[in-house]
Amino acid sequence: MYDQSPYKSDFAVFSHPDNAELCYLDSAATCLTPKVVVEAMYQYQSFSHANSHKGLYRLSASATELVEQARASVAEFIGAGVDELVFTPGTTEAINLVANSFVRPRLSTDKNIVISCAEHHANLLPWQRLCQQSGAELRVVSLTPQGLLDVAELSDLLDDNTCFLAISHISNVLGGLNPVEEVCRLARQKSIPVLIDGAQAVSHGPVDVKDIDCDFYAFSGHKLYGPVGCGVLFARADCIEVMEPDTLGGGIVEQVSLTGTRFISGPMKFEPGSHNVAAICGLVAAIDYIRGIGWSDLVAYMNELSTYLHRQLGDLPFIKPLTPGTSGAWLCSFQCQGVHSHDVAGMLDGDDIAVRAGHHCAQPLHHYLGLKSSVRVSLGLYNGREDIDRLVASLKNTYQLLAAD
Amino acid sequence: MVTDKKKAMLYQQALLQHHKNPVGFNEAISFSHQARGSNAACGDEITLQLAYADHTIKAVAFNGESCAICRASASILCQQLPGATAKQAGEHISDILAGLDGQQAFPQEAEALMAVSQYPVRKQCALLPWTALKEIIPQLLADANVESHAEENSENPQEKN
Ligand SMILES: Cc1ncc(COP(=O)(O)O)c(C=O)c1O
Repeated sequence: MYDQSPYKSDFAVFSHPDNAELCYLDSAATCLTPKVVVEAMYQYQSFSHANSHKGLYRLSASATELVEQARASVAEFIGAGVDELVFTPGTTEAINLVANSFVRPRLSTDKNIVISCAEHHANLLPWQRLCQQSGAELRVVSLTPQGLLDVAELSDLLDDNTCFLAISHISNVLGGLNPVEEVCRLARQKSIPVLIDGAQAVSHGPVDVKDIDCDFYAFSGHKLYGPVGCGVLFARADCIEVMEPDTLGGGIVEQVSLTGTRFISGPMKFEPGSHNVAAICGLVAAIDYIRGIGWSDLVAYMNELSTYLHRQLGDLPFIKPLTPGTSGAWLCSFQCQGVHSHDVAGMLDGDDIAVRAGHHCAQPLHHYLGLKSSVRVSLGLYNGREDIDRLVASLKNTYQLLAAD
Repeated sequence: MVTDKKKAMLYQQALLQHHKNPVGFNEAISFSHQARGSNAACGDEITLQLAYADHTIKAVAFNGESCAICRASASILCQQLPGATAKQAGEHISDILAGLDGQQAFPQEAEALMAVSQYPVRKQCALLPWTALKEIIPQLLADANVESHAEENSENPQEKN
């Protein structure tokens, strides 16, 4: 393996004089953007921008075409049908949409919703709120010692009154791949609809929603080397059919009178208002970028780098990973013995190393693990061994200065 | 964060000194007043204890879990306050606040915190002990007023906001 990533030069950020020394290890929060993505957005915004789906003139029609081609491209990327793919601003909005449009009408006091204790707040708060409002029960599955969803416990928690199951494909703190196929099989046996929060997983290898056999799958473009502002909700066609639009506005109606409205059918009914076409173009360019590299090369590179990360961190006795055995993960969350996680991040920042410190929008998970906060290091395509070596050196220095006597 | 390479080091020697040998940390004093400060963003919590008698702060101590910035800041507080009147303590708070906001130079005893003003996200950490102190001051002043029942000076402490 090279010290420097062969993909690093695809990212303009490192060529800026301010960032020559940047060691970016926070890709689980958001990925840096490759030039091809920026370029696609620039091209669209400069030369092709118009309001899609509305105008009768050439420019608008071509913007519409871009969006619909994007829908087909993204649908293919995750094995969905074009009529099953909704553009949202991000994962957060996608999950809220499902909560409000699909689950809310099905909920009552005697029902329950099942999630895991490792969920990002985006896949927790909407369900918590629904349960509070309806009197339904929120059931929380715990984790195996390896930090994965405890499927046996999950199976026990699902019953005839379970009306929805929402689980992350990969936790943004622990990084391990949950057995979502098995989870969906269990749920299917009991006719329980499932949402998979794929925000982290979608950049980790090919996702096929039909193989997973979930009803909903949500992710954000910006964790896939795309821009912030475009996310995706896959919803099975029969689910889309029974769902009412949640956010209301222009472009989602067949007919409106002052006394009533008939909505269009299909995924577009969940895309009110003007489309963020630049971001959608960016997402398509990001997917093309990944296709260009090829999943097998990408995954091989990231796996090798991750193995190096876990091995190097494993050699530091003062670094305590949150869960053991997640060596396959493309991230590592840990505590540095005797040093507050914010101080670790502050010290690393002094060496221009960007990591996350805190609860990473997963406060209940930290509580479950008996912690207040942790440091998270997460990898992207631009990282190479050089970054991990710098991280290790900086961590040693941090421990030396702040903890060791 | 460090796009501006001229930025001062956050973890300077002086700060690390306070972090490693904090004044007043976990010290048992017979305190008359105490207050808790907590930082919702990171879950840090410290408790400030203060022994007040004869219009003066006799001793200060703190405990709790916090980052190095907060701990150093609390240590500086514990170093500065003994011997101060309630009114002087209020002035210390104003000086620290102004220093962290970059409005004025830091008092020399608090120079370890100087760089924090350049790191907006960490200001809260440095502020935590002083915020706790701010809660106690009206009580001190009230006690002082009860005792000496006078000094109709104009600068009555409407510090709290
Ligand atoms: C697992 C998981 N779910 C949901 C989200 C929310 O994504 P977004 O902020 O793009 O809506 C994130 C982002 O941190 C995440 O990691």
